[in-house]
Amino acid sequence: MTLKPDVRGFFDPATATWTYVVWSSGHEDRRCAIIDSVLDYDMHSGRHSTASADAVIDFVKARGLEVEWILETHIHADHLTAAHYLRAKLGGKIAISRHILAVLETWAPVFQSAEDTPLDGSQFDVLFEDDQQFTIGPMTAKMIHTPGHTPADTSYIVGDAVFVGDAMFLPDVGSGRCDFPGGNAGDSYDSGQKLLALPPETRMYVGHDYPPGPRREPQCMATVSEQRAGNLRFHQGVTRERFIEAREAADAGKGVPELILPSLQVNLRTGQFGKDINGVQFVRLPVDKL
Amino acid sequence: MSDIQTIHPKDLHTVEGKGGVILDVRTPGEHSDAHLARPHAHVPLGELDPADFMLRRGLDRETPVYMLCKAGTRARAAAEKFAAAGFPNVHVIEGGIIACDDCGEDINAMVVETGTAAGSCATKQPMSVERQVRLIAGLVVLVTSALGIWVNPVWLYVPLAVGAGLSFSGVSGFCLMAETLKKMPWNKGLKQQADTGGACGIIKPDNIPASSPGPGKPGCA
Ligand SMILES: [Fe+2]
Repeated sequence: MTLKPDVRGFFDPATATWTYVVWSSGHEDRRCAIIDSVLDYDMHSGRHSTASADAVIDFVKARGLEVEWILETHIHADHLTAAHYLRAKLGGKIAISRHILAVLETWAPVFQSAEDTPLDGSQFDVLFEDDQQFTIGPMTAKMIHTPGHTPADTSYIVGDAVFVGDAMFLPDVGSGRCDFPGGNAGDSYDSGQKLLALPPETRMYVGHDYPPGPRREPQCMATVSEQRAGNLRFHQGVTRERFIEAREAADAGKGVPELILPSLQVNLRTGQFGKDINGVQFVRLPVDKL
Repeated sequence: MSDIQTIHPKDLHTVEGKGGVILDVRTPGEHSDAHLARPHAHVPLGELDPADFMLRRGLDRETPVYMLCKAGTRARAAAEKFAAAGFPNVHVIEGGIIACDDCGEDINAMVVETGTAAGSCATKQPMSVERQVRLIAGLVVLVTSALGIWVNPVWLYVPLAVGAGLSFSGVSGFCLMAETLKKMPWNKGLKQQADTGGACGIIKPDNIPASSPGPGKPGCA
C-alpha cells in the first residue's frame, strides 16, 4: 500500500508561491520536510520580512513536528527562499539537486559573488544525485531530475504525492517558462512525460499557482490523471515539437520576474543576503547581465 | 471531537494566528457585492465538497475552518458537511457577514447591507449609505407622487425618473445617489473599500511586500 503523506500548503499571494510541509500523521515519528519556503522581500525598499516563514514555523510547532529536511525544487528566480532562516530556527538539512553546480557556474560571474557563494555547493547540506532515495521520518522519498524551467529542477516523490516545483502547474495554468538561462523547452517536455508516467491517482503539488480568472482561487494540487487529460501544455496527444513551439512562442518577449536579481543571488546562498560591509548587507543589481 | 463550535465576529482576528481559514459559502453574487477584507476562501454551499476543498487548498485535517454566510444558517449547514466528512475543527461565524459588519470588520463592498442578527455587536453606527438611499428615494417618490395626484400631474415625471434610476442601479450595480452620499461629510466615518495608497504610499513593515504578480506581471509560468 502506498503511503499517503499529510501535506499542508502555504500560499504567498505576493509571489503566487506554494510552500509545503510534508509528514505522516499516522506515525509516532514526527519528522517532516519543508519544501520551497518564502522569505518576503520588497524590491523598492530593500526590506525583508519573515512573516511567511514564521507562519510555517508556527504550524510546525503547533503540530509537534520535527524538521528533518528543507528541500528546494530549484533556484527560484521570482522569490527568495527562507531555507537558511528556517534551518536556524528549526534545524534540518537543506538539500537540492547536484545539478545546481551548473547553475552556480552560470550566475557566479554575473553577481561576482565568489567571496560568499561557494561554487562547490557546500552552502547546501546535501546535494542529491539523480533518482536518489532518502527518507522523511517513516516515509521513503525519491528525487527525480525534471529540468526545463531551469537546468536543475527537481521533483520529489513522497508516497502517493509528488512535488514538482515549476516543472508543471495546475491544468489550466500549464507549466513553467523555459526562457531563463539554461532553460530548455525540449527538456521541459521530457520532464513532463516523466511526471505524467506516475500512477494516475498520484497527487501532484505545484510550486506556484496563477489562477487564470477571478473566480478560480489559488489551489495547489491536481492528480496525474487530471494533468494527463487537461493540462494546458501537456494534454494528451501533444507532440514534443508542438509543445516546444507553443512554449517558445509563449515565452518570446516575456518580461522577467520583479525579484529575479535578488532571488538568484540570495537563493544560491540558501537564502542569505551575503557578506556585509560594516554590518550592512547588499543586493547586487548587475547592469546589462540578463 | 467533531462538535461544531461557534466564533463571535469580534474574534475573527484570532483566526490567522491559529492557522485557520475562513470559508464564505454564499453565492457568487452575494460575495461580489460584499465580502470580508481579510483573507478568506469562497465556495458556494451547493458546490462545496469538504474533502476536495481541503485537499486542493493544501489544508490538513486539523486545520480550523470558519464558516461564513449572510446570517449563519448556510454556515451551519456547511459546518455539518465538514463534520460529517470527518473534519474535527469546524466553526460557525455567528450572525454571518451582517454581524461581522456590525462588529467593525472591514468589508469590501459597493453598498454594505446592515441589519441585526444573532451575535450582533449592536454598536451605534451611522445609518448605512444603502438605508440613506432608500430613505431619500422613498421620500422623494412619496412627496412628488402626492403633488402629481393633487397639485399638477407634471410632478409625476419625478417618481418616473427615480424608478428608472433605481432599476438602472439594480441592473448595473452602480448607484449615482449612493456614490454622491458617500462623499457627504456625515458619511466620512463609514468604512469604505481599503485605500490602495498612491505612488507615494509608504510601505508598512508588516505589509511587505507591497507587490503581487497579479495579472500581466511576469512570474514563473
Ligand atoms: Fe521558478
